[in-house]
Amino acid sequence: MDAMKGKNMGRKAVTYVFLTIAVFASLFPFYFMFVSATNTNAQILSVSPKLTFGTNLLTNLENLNKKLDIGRVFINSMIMTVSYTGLSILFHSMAGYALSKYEFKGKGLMFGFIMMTMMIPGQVMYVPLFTLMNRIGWANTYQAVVLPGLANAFGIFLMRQNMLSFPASLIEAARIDGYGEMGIFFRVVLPNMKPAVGALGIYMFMSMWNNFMWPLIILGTKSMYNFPVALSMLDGVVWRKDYGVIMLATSLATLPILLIFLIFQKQFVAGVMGGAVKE
Amino acid sequence: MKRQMKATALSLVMALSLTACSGGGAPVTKGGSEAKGEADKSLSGTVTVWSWDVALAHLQEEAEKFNEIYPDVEFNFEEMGVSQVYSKITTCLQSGIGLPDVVSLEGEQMAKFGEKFPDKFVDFTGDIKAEDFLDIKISECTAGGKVVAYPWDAGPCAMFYRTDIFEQAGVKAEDIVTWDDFIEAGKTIMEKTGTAMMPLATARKDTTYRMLLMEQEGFYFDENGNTNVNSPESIRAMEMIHKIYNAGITVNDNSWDDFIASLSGSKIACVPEAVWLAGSIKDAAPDQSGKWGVMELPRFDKDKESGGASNGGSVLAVPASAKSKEAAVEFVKFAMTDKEGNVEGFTKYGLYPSYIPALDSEVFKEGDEFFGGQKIYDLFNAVGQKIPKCNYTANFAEAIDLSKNAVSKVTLDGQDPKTVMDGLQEEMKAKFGK
Repeated sequence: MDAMKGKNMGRKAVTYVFLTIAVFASLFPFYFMFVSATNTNAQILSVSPKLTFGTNLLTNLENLNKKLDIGRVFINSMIMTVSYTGLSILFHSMAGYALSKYEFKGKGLMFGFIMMTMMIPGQVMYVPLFTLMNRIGWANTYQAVVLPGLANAFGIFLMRQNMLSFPASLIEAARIDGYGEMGIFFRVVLPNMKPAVGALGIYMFMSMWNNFMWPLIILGTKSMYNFPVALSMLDGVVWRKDYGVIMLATSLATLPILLIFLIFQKQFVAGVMGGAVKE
Repeated sequence: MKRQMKATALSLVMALSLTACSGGGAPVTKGGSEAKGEADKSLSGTVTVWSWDVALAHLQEEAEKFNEIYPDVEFNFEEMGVSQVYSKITTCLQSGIGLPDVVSLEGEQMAKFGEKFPDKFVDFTGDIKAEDFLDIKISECTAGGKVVAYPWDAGPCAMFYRTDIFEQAGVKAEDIVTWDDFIEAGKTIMEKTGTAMMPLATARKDTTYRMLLMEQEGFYFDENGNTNVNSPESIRAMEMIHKIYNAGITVNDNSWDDFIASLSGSKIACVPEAVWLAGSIKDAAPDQSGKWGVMELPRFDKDKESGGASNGGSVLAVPASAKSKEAAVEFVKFAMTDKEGNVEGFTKYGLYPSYIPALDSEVFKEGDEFFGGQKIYDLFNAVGQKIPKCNYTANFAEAIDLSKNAVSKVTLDGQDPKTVMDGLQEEMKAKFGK
């Protein structure tokens, strides 16, 4: 009995040591980023970098503000990300629903076509898309960033797969009870799809928050930049980087995401786990 | 539920419609010196400039000066990172829209854009006084036989060294003439102080090899753009890399951050690098003031003076389809041939000019306290004038990538330099078709 206990304890200890290392490895970069935001370039670049909070935060902030309006960048990023996430969830789940629950001619072919678009690398589209956006006068606007990627094969596929398992009898029942097609979708299907919607939402939110290449190309003025493009601007010439300023800006870009995650942590986990078991 | 959904949809629509108020950037500068009476109204329009960091800051100051003469020209500055400029300009050149009026590019990359997009940049061939600029910069700006950009800052190379470490080991800088002397001195320093002689990247960089090559007036390509990496000069350069590495006197510096760390940690006694390094050392290691000196790069042959090497520096180009082309061309000429402005660009931002008249300024003849009062810029001036012309071609960036691998093979795998360079020659020929 005691031997068993000892063995268990040993195993537990190993687990905890491993977990501690893993936690340290994943949290340390963030810690170093936040700490560096308050230190000078020389302190960060010295052989043994300063690992405690310093006093240079305000100077870094001042230097950062000289380069760009970080508040404006935040608003830009928020507008693009929130509108993109909301609209893309709507379109993806609608398309996924139609492709999984309706029977119509050419359905398989259509789904095949959508899947095939996954094989086209995004970079190939930049030049034609850029030309198009300029022709219709959308260069340097939010919609030029948000609209092109709104319905993509990955999202449609994800939603379709999730909706396939949705019981048809429930839809039938709603239909018999007199709901219209829209009503069925919004009131019966979507509320039951929370886990999938949650997962898709997180994915789309992150992908737009971190979107870099296309916004860089299509956004022309500083007042329109999102975080990744603004951060790249700070990257300047290799031998003259001010890491204090760069780390401050990256901290500011990370903080909102971090806060949102901390606040909604429960919902996220509940959302992802919600569909795992049927009871 | 329904109400909530409506609210969400509504706010989304509102968020999207906010886009309308995003339009063009605000003009940054506008002439305010009509009072001077010599205002020239012949030029007008808005000049959009893409540039980075200090280069942009310098151009903004030049724009203010420019406005004193041409008050009707407005400027719109867009700041971005170096590689971001390339991503954007490539898309814009391909589609032919959205191009700026003035763009700064790294000199070594200019030929690529000039050759891949012929006639897409304003041709300065007839205009520019080539003899006013360092030869190497004119060759950077030349693509397809035409000068398609104005030279800006230059990067003549020399050997930066730690006077205190040299002294401690009893090594004299003036005794180092050839690379062989350098290696011997390196061994002494390693033995007596435990400090490495120089940084040498074993991967991801081929800068030292390229310097050694340029010193012998060789380059990746010959004057016709044909691959030339198994020339006797090139093989000799790679053999020297082999020798330096095998002497065990180097530390690895595969990234800039590695390099800065070993520099500020006093782990290296020498750095072969371009003039702009002076500013970086001052930034990274202010406590090393007075402990640095600069000498010419060692030679290959004791009795034969070597050519100079160059690394870095930018140029300024005007796309042919620029909306305010005339004003842009005039501005570029103005800024790049402004003697005083070039000097200011150096003192304020460390942009070492390639405009020869500016190099005559007193500023370049003064001693530098950080370098123990040594007149280091005299030396860089001399080097700058003797850097051989190089044909960068459209393939320069790819050639660097392939050549980096060659450096790894010679250092890490210890392969024979001649065999490696013959292989590299074949590889480049196959890739570039010439």
